[in-house]
Amino acid sequence: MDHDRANEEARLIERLDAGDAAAQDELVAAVLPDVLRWCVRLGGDLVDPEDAAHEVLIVALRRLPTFRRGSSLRGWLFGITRRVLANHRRKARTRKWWVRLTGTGEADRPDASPSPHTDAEHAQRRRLVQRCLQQVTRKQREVLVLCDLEGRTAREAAEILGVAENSVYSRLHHARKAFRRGAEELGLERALRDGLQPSGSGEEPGRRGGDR
Amino acid sequence: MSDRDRRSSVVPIPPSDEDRALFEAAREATEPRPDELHRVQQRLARREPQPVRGPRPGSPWRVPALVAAACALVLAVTLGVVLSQDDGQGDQPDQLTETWHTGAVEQRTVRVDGALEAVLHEHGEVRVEHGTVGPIVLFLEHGTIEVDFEAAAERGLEVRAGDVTVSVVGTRFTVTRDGDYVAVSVAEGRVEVRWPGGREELGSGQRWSTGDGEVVGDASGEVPALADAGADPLALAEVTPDPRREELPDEPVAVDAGGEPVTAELDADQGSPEARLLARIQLDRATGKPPADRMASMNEFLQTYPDSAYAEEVLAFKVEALAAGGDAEQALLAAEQYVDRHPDGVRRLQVRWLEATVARDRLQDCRRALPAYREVAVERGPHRAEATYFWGVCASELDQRDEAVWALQRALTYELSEDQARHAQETLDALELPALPPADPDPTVP
Repeated sequence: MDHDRANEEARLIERLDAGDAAAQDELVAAVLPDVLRWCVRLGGDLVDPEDAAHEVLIVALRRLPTFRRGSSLRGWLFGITRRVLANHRRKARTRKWWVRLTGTGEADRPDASPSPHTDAEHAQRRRLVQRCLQQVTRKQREVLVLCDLEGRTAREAAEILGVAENSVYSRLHHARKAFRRGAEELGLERALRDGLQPSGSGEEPGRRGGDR
Repeated sequence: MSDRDRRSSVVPIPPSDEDRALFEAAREATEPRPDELHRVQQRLARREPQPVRGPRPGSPWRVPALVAAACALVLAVTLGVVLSQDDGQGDQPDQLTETWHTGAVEQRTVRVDGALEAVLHEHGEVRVEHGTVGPIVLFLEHGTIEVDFEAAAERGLEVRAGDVTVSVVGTRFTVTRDGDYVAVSVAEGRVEVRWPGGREELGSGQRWSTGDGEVVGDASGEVPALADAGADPLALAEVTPDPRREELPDEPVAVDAGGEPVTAELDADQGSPEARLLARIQLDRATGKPPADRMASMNEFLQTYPDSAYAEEVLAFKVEALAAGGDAEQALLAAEQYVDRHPDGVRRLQVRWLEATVARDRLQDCRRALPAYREVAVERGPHRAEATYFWGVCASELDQRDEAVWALQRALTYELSEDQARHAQETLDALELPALPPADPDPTVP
């Protein structure tokens, strides 16, 4: 199935190269779910995933001519997502610092203000999972997301991340331990099972491994 | 699809049932909602510009921010004028240079401008100039430095060891310098090595040194552990270096090796009862004294010096001796003690391997062996291949089918003995047979 998808994406890129503007929308529709998932799971609770995914796709479409044809589109997009998220996290931290310093400015969480689209319970669960993921180092978090949350094989994860397959196994082992520890500390399981308020939900998460 | 493709396209280590449920819930909670996808698509369709978060028009802190920036600029200019007047040389001030040293059994973490962390190994010295623009430059005077570079990717990094310059593209690597001898070993990513005679680009798993001057290793192959590059530095036979030996004079010491005709000359630790007892333990082991006869001195050491820096080593020796010929339950108990007392001990993998072997071979208890095999199999080390194979065998015996299939497939990608490879394949074939469908009920039976 992945092979078919890669072929389909390659055909879309060929159509784009040939000047078919409609192919752009189809390509965006094909890759957007993955990009948005990465932004939600890797960005943390300070990053607005929609903003980040939007920027990733703008950058990707602008730089598409530099994409090496025949190589992994997912790997290339993942690299862009990683850099965009790093920028967003840095800006979010600066913004938060400034807000604390001056006591003014916008709220420090992207989805703090409820919108008609926001399901409060879902948002709370998501934020808690994001905080648990922040307990894992960045490299390990990437492997955990690709393998355990997205169900990719070790080879696919290694191809996307551009590392040896054995590194994936090693990082995954440590990532699971760290995630499990974070889940226990933050009461994730109980919250997911019972819909209860997680421990320390209103406070800053302990970022032992966060954003490393 | 080739065998190799089939083996490596399996899902990684299957999580436990408990973890699987947790990941399933986490996946569901972080799955983007249709309305989120729709909104991003709409923004792209409307050709909205790149999102910018920051001061918005009318933001109440915009004016203070501008004032603060102006003040900072004035302060920086003033400070620059004062510093240039004091210095008068036009060079960078001395306080921007920092040097790290490490002693005999010491490692230090070198941090540069909050952008880089590197580990300086024993007997090392590295100099860094802070506050410079361009790439971070580490001047390695001597010793070994291990760098994980990605954190500093925005600035670039160079390690200079004498005439040799190592430029980094984003990687994990080690540089060693001893006088004119320089060696570079890349664990992950790519680096460029330049020296007065030329340049070389190294990839994952490759090594280069001024001695041989040519790249060793296969960039496309599996990345070898640094420990695999030469002698295993964590071998049980190794004697832990003692920093106190440098401060005391070397003298011959007579050691009673239990009647064995052993001539030994130890260095400066002759005055320390702790070191004499340790020497006795090491000599007993080196001369092949029966494990049961070695136990008394090891127990004495562990009871007398429980907080000694060598207690970890002696406890590992004890596990080894018990595994070789002592009581199996005692061996498992000692291994458990080791893991409890020295969770980060350098011989942990070796101890866990012994623990698994004793549990499986001598007690035929796969349930106790399995956790240890799992740990050994996922870390780099001399027993990784065998541990993966036995992991699969034990999981198979415990009817943990998915885990057994994964481990055996993984084991077959390693160099196993012929018997083990055949057995792994046979077990795998048996495990991968589809289950028989339930038999149709016999219509003649009421």
